[in-house]
Amino acid sequence: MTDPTELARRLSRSTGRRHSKLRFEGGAAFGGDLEVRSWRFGHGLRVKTLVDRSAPVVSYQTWLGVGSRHEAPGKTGLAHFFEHLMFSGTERFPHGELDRRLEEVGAESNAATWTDWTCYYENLPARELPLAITLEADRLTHLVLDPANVESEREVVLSERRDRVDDDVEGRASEALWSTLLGESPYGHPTIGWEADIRGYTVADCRAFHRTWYAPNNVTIVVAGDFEEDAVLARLQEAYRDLSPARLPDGPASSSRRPKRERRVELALPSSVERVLLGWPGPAFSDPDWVALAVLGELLFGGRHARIYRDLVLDRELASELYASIPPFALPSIFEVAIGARAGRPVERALEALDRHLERVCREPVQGDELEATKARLELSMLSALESAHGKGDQIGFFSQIMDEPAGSFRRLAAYQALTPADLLRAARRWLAPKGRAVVKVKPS
Amino acid sequence: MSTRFVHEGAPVLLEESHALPLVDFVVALRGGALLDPVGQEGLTRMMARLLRRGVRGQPAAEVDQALALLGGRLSVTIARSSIRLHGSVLARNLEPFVALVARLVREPALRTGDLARAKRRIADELRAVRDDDGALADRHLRRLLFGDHPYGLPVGGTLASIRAIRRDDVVAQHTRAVHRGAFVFGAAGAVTQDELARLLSAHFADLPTRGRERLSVPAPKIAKGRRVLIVDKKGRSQTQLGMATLGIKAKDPHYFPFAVADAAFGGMFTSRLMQEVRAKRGWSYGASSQIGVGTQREAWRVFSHPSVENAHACAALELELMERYVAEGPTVAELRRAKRFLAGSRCFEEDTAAHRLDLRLSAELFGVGDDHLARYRRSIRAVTREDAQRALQARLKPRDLAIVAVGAADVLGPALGALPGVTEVRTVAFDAPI
Repeated sequence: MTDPTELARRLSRSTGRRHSKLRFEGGAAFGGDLEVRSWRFGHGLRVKTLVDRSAPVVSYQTWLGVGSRHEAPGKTGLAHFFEHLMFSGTERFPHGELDRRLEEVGAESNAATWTDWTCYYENLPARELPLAITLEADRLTHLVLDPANVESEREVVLSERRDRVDDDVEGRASEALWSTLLGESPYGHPTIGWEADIRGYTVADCRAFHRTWYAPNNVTIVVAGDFEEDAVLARLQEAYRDLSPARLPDGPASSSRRPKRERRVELALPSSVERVLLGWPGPAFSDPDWVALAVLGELLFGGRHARIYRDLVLDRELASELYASIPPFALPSIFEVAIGARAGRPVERALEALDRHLERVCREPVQGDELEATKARLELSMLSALESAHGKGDQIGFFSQIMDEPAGSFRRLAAYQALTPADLLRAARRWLAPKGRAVVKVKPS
Repeated sequence: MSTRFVHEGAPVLLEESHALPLVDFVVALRGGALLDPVGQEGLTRMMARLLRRGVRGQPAAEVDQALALLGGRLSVTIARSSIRLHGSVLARNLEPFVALVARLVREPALRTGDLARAKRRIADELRAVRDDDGALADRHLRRLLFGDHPYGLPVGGTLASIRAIRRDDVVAQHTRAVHRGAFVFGAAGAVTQDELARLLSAHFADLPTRGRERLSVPAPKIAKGRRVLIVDKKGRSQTQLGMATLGIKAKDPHYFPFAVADAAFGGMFTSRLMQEVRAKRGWSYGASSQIGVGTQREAWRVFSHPSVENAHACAALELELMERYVAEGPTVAELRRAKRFLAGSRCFEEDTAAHRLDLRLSAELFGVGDDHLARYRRSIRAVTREDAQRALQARLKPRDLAIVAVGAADVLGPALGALPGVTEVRTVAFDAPI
């Protein structure tokens, strides 16, 4: 491959536009012989490239640093709604044309919105990469917001909300847990938005959202797979040349105040069994304690070998479902545990057993080979996620967005491997005390 | 690199790739839920689940811990005509992993206590289906379409059939299912052919011999007319709506034209169904059609989830779209787009060693052979509009449909009963046995 500094210089010399000048910002090893390279154009648009010729495919991903935590009160869900509107069309490619063009070349494409980011991706046969660049650059620059389309998408999103939340026991309970624990914090409202807010968006709201957040200095493009780096960077330079940077608002701050007492909510929902969801305030993804809690979650809840799962689900048969998760968010959020009781058994018994386990985890270090087994499983999971071009791109995009470190998944794996039982004990004592948690109990209606 | 060799008469499929220090190792057995005796539905799945529950002298907890320490994952999936034990492991631990999988397959403990525990767990899972409207709709839809035909019986069994299983049944089913003629091995990732052959010789030598059992599945027959089943669930704002009729079989001469026609109708984001239901009307977040594949004609299904208020209009629209589609076939533009999509997107089923192995295993187990894979793109590209229309008219009968809706019966019953061609409307409670 061409020397990256020289390549950036050559492309910069080829344009008179300040916004189109290209800077090489460094490379990082990405496992084996691969290298991820970081670039930035004059208007702030960042590009990460990973050339991998193991299969004739390429993943093109557009990551924006806006998600539901950036939404204003009364406009919850707007980031997700806008993701839908990004398929509205442009003058050059009217509504539906983007999907048609992509499907005609066999591309997989979709988009996702979460709390901290929004991502659009296309996985394509390698020779079709120019199409993705053309379409993405065009809609970022020339999106047309048609009021009729806004109305139609509103109905689609309301249907999505009914499907995922209103008619879904776990969706309803999870929404209650997050709003109870995180309240007015940036993560206290659902990414899909409250129904009343979804019904209230105006076209002007959508236009303002686009103007504010869909600027090149809030975008990271990831290209992973089989492609020629020189040609692709030249094409990006041309395709995104008309964009201008915007002044991005400061993101909302997180509250450092942690609840002092346990809060309980009870819901009656059409569930065949009793359920409990528990949430503790959790650290941000960049906090070293996040690593410890992620390992602890896997060690205690992550399947048949895991200590609490084995006891509650397999041995004592108190629960039929049990999982824990700690979302990878930029700001402090939640450590969540969900229990579905066995039929005919009160969930309180499973909860009591869980609490005894957690007391023990806060009292004594893990012993034996539990920690080593957990590390091996996490290594397998991380490597499995890197098998495809899309998986690699996904890791690069996510770590760039949250940590500004495109090869961060490897450092994260090293951090898992370095953990000691003392690290887990310290993190458990700091984060898993019962007094600050929220508990949502679901009783069958 | 793709290779194929034979171990004790069993095909071994290898996709070698050293891009990552990982190996997928698969032991597949021909003959899945179709081996279940009448009244003992779920027996094969039960037997396969118990394979994970330890070997003689090594209880389940020790097996689970050993797998975890190796950085290994092992899942068991049961289809109607095959069982697959699919493992993934860090390459440095491949040998002990293969050794452990071999013991699980060949010397399972099949303990009475584990059987009792598994029965309770499966009963719980079956009850949990009641909370999942989509899964509930699909389960009822198959049953309504196929009735007592093996394709209508749930792979995992029913509460009653699971309760009836005894340890002797499980042991007998293991003997019946695990024999030399049933095995197909597969591996993908950082392992060479020599190494794989050595591992199989070391751990899968002297496989038990038994005559290969020919599983014969009768051709399914479905009832005439449109039959509606409402699965009554109060308080739902959304309806899970499923429609099904007979589709195609794996070796059907219409296979490729039908696959193209299905993609154009409901298999893509820009397909006719999605455009009409979601894009134009916003009635449902998703609307799609799906082909099932079996040795006999499987189901062709259409799913959407409109609000209760829109359920009738949405179902009526879908029926109209189906009828018109079968009569007229896809447009030239739809056909072109579907062909390009299927041929182009094939690369994502071949982009990793694990994906390529999966394709080859499926072809092997369905008996369509590597040739089917090699000519996939060519066959898709060769489909004409006339071929697609012929396949639709030969295989799809939208007048003979099973229609299932999960939601409030007091609204849905009268609404769906008024659809054209409906000959029967029944209602069952969401927690009724199935």
